[in-house]
Amino acid sequence: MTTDFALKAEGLSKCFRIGAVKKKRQQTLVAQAAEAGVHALRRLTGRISAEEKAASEHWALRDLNLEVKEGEVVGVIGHNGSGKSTLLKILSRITAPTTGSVRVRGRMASLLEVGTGFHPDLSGRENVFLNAAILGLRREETRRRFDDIVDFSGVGAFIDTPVRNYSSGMKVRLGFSVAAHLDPDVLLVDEVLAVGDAAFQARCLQRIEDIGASGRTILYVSHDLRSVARLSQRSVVLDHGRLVFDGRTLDAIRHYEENMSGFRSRRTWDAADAPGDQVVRLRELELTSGGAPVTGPADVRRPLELRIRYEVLQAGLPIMPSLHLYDFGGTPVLSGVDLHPEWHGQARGSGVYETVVVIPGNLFHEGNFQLAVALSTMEPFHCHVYVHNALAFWVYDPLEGDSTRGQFRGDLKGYFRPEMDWQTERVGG
Amino acid sequence: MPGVRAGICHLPAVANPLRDKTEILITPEGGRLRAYVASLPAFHELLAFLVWKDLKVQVAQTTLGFGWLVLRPMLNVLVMSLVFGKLARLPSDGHPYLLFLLSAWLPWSYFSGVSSKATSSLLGNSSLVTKVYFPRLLLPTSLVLGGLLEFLIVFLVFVALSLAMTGGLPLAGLLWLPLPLALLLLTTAGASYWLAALAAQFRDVRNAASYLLQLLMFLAPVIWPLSLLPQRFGASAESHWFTTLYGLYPMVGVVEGFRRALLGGGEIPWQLLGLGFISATVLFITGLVHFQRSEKRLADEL
Repeated sequence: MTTDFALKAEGLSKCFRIGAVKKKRQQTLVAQAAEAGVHALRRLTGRISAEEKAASEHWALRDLNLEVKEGEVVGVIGHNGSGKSTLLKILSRITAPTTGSVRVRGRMASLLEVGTGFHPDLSGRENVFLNAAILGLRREETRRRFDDIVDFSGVGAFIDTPVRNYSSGMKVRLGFSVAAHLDPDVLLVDEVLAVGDAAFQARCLQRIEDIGASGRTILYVSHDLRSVARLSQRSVVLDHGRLVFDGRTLDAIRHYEENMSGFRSRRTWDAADAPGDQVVRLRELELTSGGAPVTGPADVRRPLELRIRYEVLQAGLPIMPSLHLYDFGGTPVLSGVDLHPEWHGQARGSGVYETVVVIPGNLFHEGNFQLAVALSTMEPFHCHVYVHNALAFWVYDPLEGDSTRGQFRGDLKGYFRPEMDWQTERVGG
Repeated sequence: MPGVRAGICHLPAVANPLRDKTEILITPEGGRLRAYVASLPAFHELLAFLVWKDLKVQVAQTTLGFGWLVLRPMLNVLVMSLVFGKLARLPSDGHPYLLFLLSAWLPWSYFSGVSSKATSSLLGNSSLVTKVYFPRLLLPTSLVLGGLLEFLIVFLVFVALSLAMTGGLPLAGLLWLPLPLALLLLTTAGASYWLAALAAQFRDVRNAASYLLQLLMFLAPVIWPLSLLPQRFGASAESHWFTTLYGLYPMVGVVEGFRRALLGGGEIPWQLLGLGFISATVLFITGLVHFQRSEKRLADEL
């Protein structure tokens, strides 16, 4: 018998009955009893169809098997609704699986969504002790860690204020701080980086990294693939409740990007479903780097080429292509407009056109970007095509020392990291 | 991003591998009742904390704070004593009506107070229940324990009033008071477990419970003496079907037990207490089982 696993899930499934739970809230006991009776009758008389049954069921997780060894840090990747959060909720025993089982060795702490389990009427201090008690820590143990927890959270003087008066950021900071200092054997972390300011996020990541390095087992869920890659060597990919990949994190990210994410290097549209109107329609988009398709990772140093192919249906109008970049949170990052004199402001004949725009290398900082493309006419301004989240890519730095990072490997902020002209001369002394 | 901090993943050994690691098993059924109950003692600090939390929240939100714990039951008893004793002139077996009422109100207010709070024990703590795991049974249990403070205060008030109005206390009665007290705790816990779980599942239980509790109060000999009933409930009453049926309502045994013990002069109502213990045990065990079974669905329902 091997005893070195910290967490082992076998055949794990979770089925939600759509509507059933939601309805229950508003329904009265009588109405519900009546409905249950009708339902039972219909089932008895075989009047409930298989489709009806399938339609009312949603499998958030399906037959998931996962073994995590003691001391392993495992990332969980997947798009929204892929079952990541459900998995963590089952592991943290908040909700029960429909089938299957999980064995967890040792004390487990979880950090799910905002604020962990805080009681709004209690002060920050009391909530720290409450959470510690929930985790099974004795008062004495908590007291020893208390100052570290408060220091880390930066909540400071508000520690004796009821948590209801905390900002959501403070709640998250204190919540993370508690979970991160309670020294659990297994730590479940879900999307902590979705909230809180950048400086705190960086500290969180560092802390998780330290916990992982001290031999604790961590299951880390995040949309931020960069942080997953930083923290864990092994990752699993979930898709529609199924575990579709389990292996090295970099391979997992690649798998995710190639198969499921919005990370696409090329999109084409038929004449029938091409976005646009009777003036112009978008037919194809392709993102390449040095001629090779960019499926996800794009080297920070290299320029990117975006090829836009479109069909002009109504002649005599000046068509102006433009591109718009957003981060994954939807914040606009930049816009670019085709002002090349050959076509700008010039009426075009009908036909298929191809515009290529080169986005220079050494422009972006590492991060995820999504790309929107628009085709407009001016005077009066009219946007004929706008495709949001048309393609997406992420910029990485291979850290070979020749990017604008130089030799620095730590955390940097922002969207851009262009090459700039720096000049220094000694002017005195 | 090959190469990015890849070096950090060579983890050193666990700091203290000898640490006792209990294994948790998560299954659809939510584990066995025995394992569930066995896991409870480990959470005694959390239970104490929850008890303290409930009291603190109660006390902290009002200006009078602690004073309400004394004032609320006193006002209730005074009003009821005026209405039922002075105006309606309900009989009180020769005792001053105020004491007569208070001796029964003491266990009753505990029972009804804890039971009605239990209906919101899970709903009111949804911020905890949907985020972290601990045996949810601790929530209603903390109310059962926390209610004892108010119980103790009312008890002391009774002692003071009894000394002032009759000049003494029935010491013999106090000796067997733990008997109806144990029945009270068992009944209250059982009812609380049922109500807490049901109220989380069906929202209307919360409203229905307050009416049910009112009805139950009039059914038990709280404001009226048991002697009003045609059957006798002594130590060895004849086993009339009504006596048996009525005795199965555990609060009858509780209320009558408290009254006889605190006012003195009566024999121990063995039959009522015995029947009460039977039904209260059933209530407690079924409540425990039902609560544990519905616990796994709680987060989905809240």
